[in-house]
Amino acid sequence: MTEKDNALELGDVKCHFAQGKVRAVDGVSLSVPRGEILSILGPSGCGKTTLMRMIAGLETPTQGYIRIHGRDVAGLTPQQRNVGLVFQSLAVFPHMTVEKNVAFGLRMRNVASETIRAKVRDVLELVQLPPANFAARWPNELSGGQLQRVALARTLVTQPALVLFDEPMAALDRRLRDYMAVELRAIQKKMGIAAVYVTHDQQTASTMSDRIAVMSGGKVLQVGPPPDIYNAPANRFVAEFVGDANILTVGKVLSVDGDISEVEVEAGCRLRVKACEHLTKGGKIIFRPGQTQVDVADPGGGMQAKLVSVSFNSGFYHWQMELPDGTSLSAGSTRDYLASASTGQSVWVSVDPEHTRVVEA
Amino acid sequence: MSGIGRHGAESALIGSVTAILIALILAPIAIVVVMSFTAASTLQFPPPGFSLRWYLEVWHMATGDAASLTRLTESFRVSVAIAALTAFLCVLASVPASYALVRYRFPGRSAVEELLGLPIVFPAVVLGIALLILVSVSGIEFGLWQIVAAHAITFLPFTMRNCITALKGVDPELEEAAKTLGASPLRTFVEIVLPLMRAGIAWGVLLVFILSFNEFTLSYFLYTVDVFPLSIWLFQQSNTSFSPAIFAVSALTIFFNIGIILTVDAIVGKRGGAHIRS
Ligand SMILES: Nc1ncnc2c1ncn2[C@@H]1O[C@H](COP(=O)(O)OP(=O)(O)OP(=O)(O)O)[C@@H](O)[C@H]1O
Ligand SMILES: [Mg+2]
Repeated sequence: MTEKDNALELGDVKCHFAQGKVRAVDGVSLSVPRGEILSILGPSGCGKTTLMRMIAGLETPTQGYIRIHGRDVAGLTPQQRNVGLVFQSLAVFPHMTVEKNVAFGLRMRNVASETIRAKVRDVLELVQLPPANFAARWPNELSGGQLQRVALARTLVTQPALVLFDEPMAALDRRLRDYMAVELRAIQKKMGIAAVYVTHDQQTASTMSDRIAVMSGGKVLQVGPPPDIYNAPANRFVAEFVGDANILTVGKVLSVDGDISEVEVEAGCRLRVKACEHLTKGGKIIFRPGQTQVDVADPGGGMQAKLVSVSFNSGFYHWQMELPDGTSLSAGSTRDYLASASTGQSVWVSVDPEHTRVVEA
Repeated sequence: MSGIGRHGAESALIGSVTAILIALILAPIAIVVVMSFTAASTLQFPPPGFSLRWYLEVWHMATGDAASLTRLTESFRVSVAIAALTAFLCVLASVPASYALVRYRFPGRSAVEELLGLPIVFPAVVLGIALLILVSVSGIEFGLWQIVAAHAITFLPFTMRNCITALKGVDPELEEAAKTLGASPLRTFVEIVLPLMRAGIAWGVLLVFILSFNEFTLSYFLYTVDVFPLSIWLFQQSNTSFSPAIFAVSALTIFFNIGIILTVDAIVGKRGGAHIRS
C-alpha cells in the first residue's frame, strides 16, 4: 500500500496546552485507508476532540505531521482542507432552516443554485429526512436524532475528502444510537468517504468501524479490527475498556508444556494459560466472562470460588464469583449452568487456555 | 414561621413602596401628557377642559407659513439626523470591537473592558466643556458632527455592551462549523455571527438612538445657530413663551420614542427569539 492510498495519515502528532502542562494529544500515529471507517475509542478527556480539531485545522499541532490524501496540510486553513467535521455539539445553525443548513457548504463553494437544491434534496433523502417534511423546518423544531442527521447531511453533501465524527450521537439513547450507527456506516460505505468516528462507547465503535484505535491519556494504545481488540487486547486498559474482563495476576510459572503453561496466580489458585512473552511474575491474565465456565462440581483444573450473585439480562445469565482472597470473577452464558446453585455456595471456575491472554502489568 | 414567603404587613409594605416609586417615575410624564390636551391657554392644572387645540397649534408651527420661523420641523430633523448618525457610528465601531474583545485574548483586554464603563461616570458637562474648547481652538466648523462625535463617545459603551452580550451568546463552534464547511472568516462573520447578533445590535441601536435624540447637556454646549436639536428647541421655548404647545411637542416626543421601541420590538423581538431552543 502506498502513501497515496491513505485518506489520512498522522505522524507523531502532539498537541500541548498551557505551555506543555496539558498534553491533550501526546504522539499519535495513525493511518486511515481510502473508504475505511476508523473509530477512536477512549475515555473522556483522553484527547479525542483535540485530535479531530487538529485534523480539521481548528487547532495547530505542537508537533508532528498530518497528511490528507498524501498532502501535508500544515498551514492550511479549515476552509482549504476539505475535511468534514460533525461536532460533538452538532453545531447546527439555529438561524437557518434545515434546507439552508444543508446548503451552506455548497453555497460557500459557489455551486449553482439549481444544483444545490437537487443535492440538498438527495442528501436529505439519504439521511431519511424527507425534504417535503423537513426542508423548511427550523432546528428548534427537530428532535435530537433529526438534528444529528441534519449535521450529518450538512457535512456529507459537500463530499469532503475525509469526514470526522466527534461523538455526534452521545446525546441519543442506546437504541437510536445503535440504529444510527448502522445507518451511518451504510451511508459512509455508499459514498465511499473515509471516516474517523470518535466515541467512548465500545459497542458503537464495534458496530461502526473497520478498525478501532483505543486511546488513553493522549496516546493510542492499540489499533486493530474490533474482534482483535476484544480478543487480543494489548494491555489491561484496553481489555477493560472494550468489555468486561476477568483479570488475575501471575504469581509463579509452574510448568511450560508447548503452547500451554500452568501458573499459580497471586490469588492462590492454579490455572492453565496460553504462553507468551509476558508470562512472568506480575503479568496479567485476561479472559472474557463469555468464555468462562462455571460448574457446581470440579470439572478438573477449576478454581474454587464462592458464588456471590446471579442475574439475568437480555438473554444472558450472569454470575459473579469471588476467589478466597476476594478477587472477583464473572461469567456469562445463555444457558443456566448453575440452576441448582444458590448464592454463597462453592462453584468451580475454569477457562480454556486458548481463550486466555497474558499482557504486561 | 417561615422566612421565605412574604406575608401580611411585609407584602403590603413592598406593594405600596413599589406603587409610590412607579407613580413618582410616571407622574411628570403623565402631567405633561395630560397638560398637552388642555383646553385652556394657561398652565392651570388640572386642566379646566380637554381639547386637541395645542396639537393643532403644533401642526401649524410645523407646517404653516411660520414653519421656518418656529424651526420646529428643522429641529426635529436635526435631532433625528444626529441620533441616526450617532447610532450608526456606535454600531460600526462596536461590532468589530466587541468581536475582538470576546473572541481574542490580547494584553490589555480586561483594561479595555473596564474602560467601557468610564464615560458613564464621566460628567457630561465636563465632556461638553472639553469638546467646546477643542472646537473653538480648532476654529473649524464641524456642523452637526460635533454633537454626533460627543454623543458617539458618550453612548458607545451602550452598543458595546449590547454587542458583547449578544456575542457571548453565539457558540464559537458555530463559527468553526462554518469554516470546516468552506466559509472564509469574512463569510463566517457575515453569515453566522452577524445574523445571530442581530437582536443585540438592534437593541443597541435603539438605545443609542433614543439616548442621543433626547440628550440635552452635550447638545447645549455644542449646538450652533444652524444645528439646533429638538431638546434645545424645547428648552429655548420653555424659557421664552410658556404656552401649552410645548407640552404637546413634549408629548409627541414621548410618543415618538415609544413608537420606535415598539417598531424595533416588532421587527427583532419575535423573530429574534424564535430560533432560541427552549
Ligand atoms: N483549549 C484548551 N486549553 C487547555 N486544555 C485543553 C484545551 N482543550 C482541551 N484541553 C484539555 O485536553 C484534554 C483533552 O480534551 P479533549 O476535549 O480532546 O477530550 P475528549 O477525549 O474529546 O473528551 P470527551 O470524551 O469528554 O469529549 C482534556 O484534559 C482537556 O481539559
Ligand atoms: Mg470530546
